[in-house]
Amino acid sequence: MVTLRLPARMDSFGPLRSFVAEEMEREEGLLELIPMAELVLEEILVNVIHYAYPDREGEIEVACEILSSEKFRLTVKDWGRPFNPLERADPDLTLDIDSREIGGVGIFLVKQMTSDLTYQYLNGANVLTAWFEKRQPPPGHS
Amino acid sequence: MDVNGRKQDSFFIVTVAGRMDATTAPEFEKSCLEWIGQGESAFIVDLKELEYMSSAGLRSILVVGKKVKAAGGTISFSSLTPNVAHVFSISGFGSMFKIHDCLETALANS
Repeated sequence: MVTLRLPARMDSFGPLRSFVAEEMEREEGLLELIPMAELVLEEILVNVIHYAYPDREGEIEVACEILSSEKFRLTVKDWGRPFNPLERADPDLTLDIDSREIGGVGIFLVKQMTSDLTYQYLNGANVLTAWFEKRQPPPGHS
Repeated sequence: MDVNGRKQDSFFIVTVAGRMDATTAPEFEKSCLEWIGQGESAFIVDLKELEYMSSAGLRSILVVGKKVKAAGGTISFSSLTPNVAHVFSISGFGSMFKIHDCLETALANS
């Protein structure tokens, strides 16, 4: 497992993104999952900045672990206000452009892009863990 | 991210290249709102060169889409790359907006 801890600011997104992508590039089976991991990382970082540290700057720590040639785990930790993003209600995708509310899509995307997702508040830290798994092609396709 | 706009026939074509994320999406929104303010109303947004979009990008698109509609205009999107198409699809934006395979189809059918 490798970790990188940086200030929870938007300009940390570039270095964190490179850090995660470089780790994933070590396994060919993980390459196609990189765009999803980048998106999940951005959405979580944005949430941490807004909700965990609304009135001060704190730190964010990203840990990566290759679990197999097709499975990857990303853990994001912060030491801000306890905040469980998974409790946020999903947006109503059936609404038209007039009724659709602005925002509220980030965590929904995170849920859709991951094969598993957990939140824990551990020793004063918000810990969000996301698993990415290469999808098997449907039966009958090679 | 690069955002450019140009007139073509009766349309206003916006091309977006690079990454539309929390840092860059406001530029897209600002440019489009300026064009709306200048009276443009038939928008086609070509995303052929856009490799990445997060919820911040979707947010800006929805803001712009609502403004265009409120002004009585139209907005459609063309040439989505696989990553962007995936985000459009799971967020419901793929059914909320008109999406075209390429700019030529968009020009012919908008």
